[in-house]
Amino acid sequence: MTWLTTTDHKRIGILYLVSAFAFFLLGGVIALLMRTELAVPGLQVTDEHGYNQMFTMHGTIMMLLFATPTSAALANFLVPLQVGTADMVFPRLNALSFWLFLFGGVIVLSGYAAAGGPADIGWTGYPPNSELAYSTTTGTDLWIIGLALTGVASILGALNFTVTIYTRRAPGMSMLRLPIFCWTVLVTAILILFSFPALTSALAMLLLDRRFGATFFLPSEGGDAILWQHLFWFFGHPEVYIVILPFFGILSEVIPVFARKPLFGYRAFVLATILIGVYSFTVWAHHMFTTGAVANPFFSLVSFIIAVPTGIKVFNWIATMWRGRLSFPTPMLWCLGFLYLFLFGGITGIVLGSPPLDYAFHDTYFVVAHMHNVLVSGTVFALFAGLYFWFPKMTGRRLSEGLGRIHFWSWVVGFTLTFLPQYQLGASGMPRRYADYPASAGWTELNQLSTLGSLLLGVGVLVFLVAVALALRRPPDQPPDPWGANSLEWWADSPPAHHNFRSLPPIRSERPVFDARHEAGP
Amino acid sequence: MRGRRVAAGAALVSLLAAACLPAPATTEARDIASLYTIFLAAAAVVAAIVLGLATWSVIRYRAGRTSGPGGAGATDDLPPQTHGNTRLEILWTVVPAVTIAVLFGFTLVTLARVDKVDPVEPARGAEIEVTAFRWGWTFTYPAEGISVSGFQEPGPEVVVPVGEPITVRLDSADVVHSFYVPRFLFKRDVVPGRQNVFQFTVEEAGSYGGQCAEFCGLYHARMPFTIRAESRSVYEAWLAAQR
Amino acid sequence: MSLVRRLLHDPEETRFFLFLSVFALVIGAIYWFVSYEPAGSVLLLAFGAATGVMGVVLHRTGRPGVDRPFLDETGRFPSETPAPLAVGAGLSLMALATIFGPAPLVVGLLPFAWGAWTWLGRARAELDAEVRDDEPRR
Repeated sequence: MTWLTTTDHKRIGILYLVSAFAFFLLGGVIALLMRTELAVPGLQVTDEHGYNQMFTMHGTIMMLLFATPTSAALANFLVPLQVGTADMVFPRLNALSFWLFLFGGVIVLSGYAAAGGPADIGWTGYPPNSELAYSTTTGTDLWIIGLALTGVASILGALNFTVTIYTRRAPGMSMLRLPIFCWTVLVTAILILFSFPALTSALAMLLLDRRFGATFFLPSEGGDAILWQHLFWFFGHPEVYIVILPFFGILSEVIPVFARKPLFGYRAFVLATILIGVYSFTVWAHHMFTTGAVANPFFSLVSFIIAVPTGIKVFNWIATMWRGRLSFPTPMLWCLGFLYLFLFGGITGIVLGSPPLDYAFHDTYFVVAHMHNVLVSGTVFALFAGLYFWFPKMTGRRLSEGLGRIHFWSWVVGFTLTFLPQYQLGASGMPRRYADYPASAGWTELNQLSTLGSLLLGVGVLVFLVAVALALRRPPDQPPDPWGANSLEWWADSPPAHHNFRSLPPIRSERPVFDARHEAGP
Repeated sequence: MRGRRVAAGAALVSLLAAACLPAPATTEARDIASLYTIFLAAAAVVAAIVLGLATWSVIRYRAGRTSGPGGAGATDDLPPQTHGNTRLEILWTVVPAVTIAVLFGFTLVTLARVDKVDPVEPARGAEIEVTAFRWGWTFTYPAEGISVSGFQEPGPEVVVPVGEPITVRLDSADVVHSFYVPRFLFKRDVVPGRQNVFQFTVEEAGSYGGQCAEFCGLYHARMPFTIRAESRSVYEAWLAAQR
Repeated sequence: MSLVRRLLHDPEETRFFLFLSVFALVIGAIYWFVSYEPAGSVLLLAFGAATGVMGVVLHRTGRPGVDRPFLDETGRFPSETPAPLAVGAGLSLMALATIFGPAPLVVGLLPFAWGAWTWLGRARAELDAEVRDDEPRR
């Protein structure tokens, strides 16, 4: 019961994490159903309408009910601990953010109880296809309301993070001694504050069109179908960085710990984070190269530019490992998986940033492969790195190394099999969002490979759940700093006491716990 | 040994990620395919460098190897605590910046050629108005006064003259669709309330399947069409048969 | 010149927002002249204006100070309360009124009003306590 009334940032963080992970499991089951449908030509699992609803809900759930709140979950748990304070600045607002997110998510899902089923418009909801004339289910209206609520939740949370980082840092912690994870959360919060309003207004306009006779996006009545795409992607592209920057932050926390070295080029890393953040506001229309309605060279150039700060980050991670003393417990393994596999997503991002190549690849499985390459071997790999890393801090218990390795390798192989063949499928002309494909198209074998891989991903998640269950059955036994880590959260108990700290070490760098350990050390 | 396995694994994964395009069928597609080759070459170099450096550091700097004799258990002999290196950092900012500048240059050249629309000459080529609707296509040849329409499978089939510029004007009757022919390596959205125009020249006679690429509702996966490129005489015979 | 120097002496917190603002205004201006596309231009310039306001406010108020008793903060943090849950549930129900008519609005108003009332009451009590705490020190 106290979970319902809590205002403690750690508990709210765990509430966020558990709910977001539950949404992740649901989105994953939907993905497995879709992969099963696509394993052979013809319709076996569902019909066209059911399939359209599946990819709509899968995309919506994974982007807005899983990835976004997961970064909020980790930020909630970690930011006050890392800056050395007892709680967020606005604890009650923090709780309200969580409840709005949860109820928003439930409202989106309640479409399954509506007469026409859930929304069937794709997670991008392009009008006029999402207008009432073409998408008649109430599920689409519920989708609009639910997303608007989760958007408000994100905005309130972002305010809270910004103010907490700005005003609650421990004595001695200047902005350039702030843990990198907090920097990424700060930039993410700025992205949320200035991009979610575009989504909220687009949703409001769509709802007005559908329910109250407005014609914002109806060209036949003088509206503009492209306007939605501008508004949606002005939110949608920063959103991509909202769900990747904090996870870059996780890598930057984990790799130095297991390389026994400070993060290489801290200042360059901060600058690269800020640059990626601001540039993400300027590239939205690279999702619209084929509309014929946008300035393609401008958006191509700014999209390319983002590769430079992202490259800086990758090189900084490698340089952090260079001449280190590397050990490879599960959190570090996930970071390496990220480093190796994310690279392909980055490179294919450059390919898609070139408009002539996008003419070939847009809306095909090449794009599907690219975004899953970035979001699965990026965001989700880093999330697992973070979960294995901070699980002792959250619960006082450690996850099994053996099961962790099984989980890791099933995901490396599963990811490779599921998504890399999709690049070839896209290049061969298989469009995304197709419920079915003809047997004569020659896509069957690659699709079966992909389906097989997705099963492995599912098995990996089950192994992870078993590891969590087993760990939670044991009594807590972890010391404050089981890894020999760097930032302030490792100074507090595992799990931390109600108001986090009894004392704080002096803060003279971005690694106060490291400094304290080696001053007192042998 | 372990290193070789990691490197082999990385190479295998890279091969999987390198997708091959179908044989280009139009002049514009040939340009796009050449651009893709340039990008793939650059990507291979970048991947080799990054994966090589990462693999080297993973193998070379494992804790067991770097510590002195019997040092595997000694957790507190720290490696040198380097915080950065300005020269290196400038290097890996400038080199990628130059690389993308070059790639952007190639992009601009190709983009201009692919997007170019020449004025229509009456004696050469063809002009087609394509209207997309849920879930089919209507191809109209306004100069010849003929129109071919098809709903769902198998979809309409139209003939164009090979080796001559074809001008396409796109209109939508309802929602956003996208005109996509995989062998042309090209698609353009069909946006209601906005006319998009593009041109292509088929280089080889043959039958090229197309489909809708922008999600447009229930039967989005079932609105194919076929473009058959034939010699001028066959094309004119087909036009006459349609009238 | 002196303005530039003053800005460079601002703490990172302030420069962060000023940088965002300058960046967005410059890109917004460039974007307008390469595209004449109103939606994106308005969004970019609004982003620049909003971060600019933040930057100017921070520039004027200076570094956000750490103004709290550092470790013993227990009294200053709200205790457990169902108010956020009530407000969240109420707001969500009220939002559904746009689809289902006035019934959810009426049902949602009750928890929302009760939650908001409790929330504000607690917040007020905490502020009063804080003022009482601070007084002897002055």
